[in-house]
Amino acid sequence: MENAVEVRGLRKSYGDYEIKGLDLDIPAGYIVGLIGENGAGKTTLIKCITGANRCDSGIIKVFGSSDRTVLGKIGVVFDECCFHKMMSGKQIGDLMADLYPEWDQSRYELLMEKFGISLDKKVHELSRGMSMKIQVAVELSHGADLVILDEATAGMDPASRDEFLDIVMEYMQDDRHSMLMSSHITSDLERVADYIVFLHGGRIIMSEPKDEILDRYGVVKGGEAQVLAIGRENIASLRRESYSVSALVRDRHAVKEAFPELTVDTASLDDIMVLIVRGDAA
Amino acid sequence: MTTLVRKDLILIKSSIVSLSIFAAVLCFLLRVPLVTYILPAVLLVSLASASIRWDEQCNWDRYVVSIGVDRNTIVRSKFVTGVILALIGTAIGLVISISMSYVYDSGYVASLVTACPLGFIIGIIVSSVSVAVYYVTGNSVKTQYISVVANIVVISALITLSMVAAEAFGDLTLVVLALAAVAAVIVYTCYSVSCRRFAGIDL
Repeated sequence: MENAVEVRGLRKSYGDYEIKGLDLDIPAGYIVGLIGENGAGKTTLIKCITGANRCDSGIIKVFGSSDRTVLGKIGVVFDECCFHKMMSGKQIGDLMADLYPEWDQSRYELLMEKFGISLDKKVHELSRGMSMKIQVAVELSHGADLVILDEATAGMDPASRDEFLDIVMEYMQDDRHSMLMSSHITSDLERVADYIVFLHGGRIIMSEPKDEILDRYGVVKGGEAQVLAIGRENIASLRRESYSVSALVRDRHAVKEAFPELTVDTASLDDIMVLIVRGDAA
Repeated sequence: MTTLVRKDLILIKSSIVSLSIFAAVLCFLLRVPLVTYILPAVLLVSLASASIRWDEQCNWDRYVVSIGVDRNTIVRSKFVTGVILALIGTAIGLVISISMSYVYDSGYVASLVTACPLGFIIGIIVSSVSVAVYYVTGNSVKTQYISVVANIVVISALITLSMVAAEAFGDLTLVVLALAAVAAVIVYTCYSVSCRRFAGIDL
């Protein structure tokens, strides 16, 4: 399988914070969802991939090349709108038409219309969510083969997010397109991502196909003795609460088969994140 | 790069108009020919470093670097914006000088041929030094102080040397040419320092 992005041995430190020798692949034609708690290193990783941050060591290749000065191949939406507040949607469109060799003005106007944003409105007249939509409209209008979204949906209401995810799926209809999507709204990733990468404390602790994760992992709740009877080897993380214990199990089907008396629930990405970040790794 | 310069000019368009009016009022009040040639250019080029601050506020540089724009191109665009602003400032200085010659006396137009390039040269020096100071020290009040002090030192030294040279050689055109050569060295040094500094910054 060809990779849109390959990261090998990435190291980056800021004082006491560190990304420690990270390896990551983003397969071409797929959406990779990036999850992790605040400060896990998601934005730093994205900035290193795009070249906005210099990495201390490691190799990053985008479409097989370390040269990231090829305009238009990558589209990036950070967690804040990067366009000047005094610029209107029309001025932004005109500038981008100059900047990108494969700019599609009609697609930009169509997306702006879909998002309900007048081209005459200036960025400062829009809410955070609306200004983020301008950025999304730009990034999906210049023929980028790789789009990187860093908390792009954070300021959007549920209806807008739903519409946005439809647009993401439409973009991904083209096999050449790939996407890295970092989000705290894991339900969005459950809907669109093909792979999930879980970053915790600057390390990747999980990198698997989403369907496998959601199918395999499970949550068992109960008394401590009852839960620990499953065996440490089956537990990925354990969280002790006031009156019960929750365990994240690696293979819920096997646990269900071995311990039919236990209730093994499916684990959402949120469950997995909470149990791993707040629990004790087994 | 033209897109980046165009973006800057779109954003500073209204500031150019207001600063030009301010410069005209100040020139008419001060009635000093040398100030009239230089002040509009010096005021307008301050917008070049202001545009870096605005870019920083909305993380524009992070965005353009991420989509593949070379970091040196970003720095170069700021220097080109500075040169364009110095040209506009010089032209405005020329218009103000001609207007003042009608209102007051012809002293304003007598040395325009040498004075106008002087406004442009000082404009690009101020712009380059300010941009370089910004890239080296970042966005802070300290930066603005350093920028003002650095410009005052450089401009004072150049004007003093120019006056001494003009006195010694008696040919102002030669002095302006020498000044242009010094300005070219200053601009190149500032550009190199800015590129080196910006290349290592995490955006």
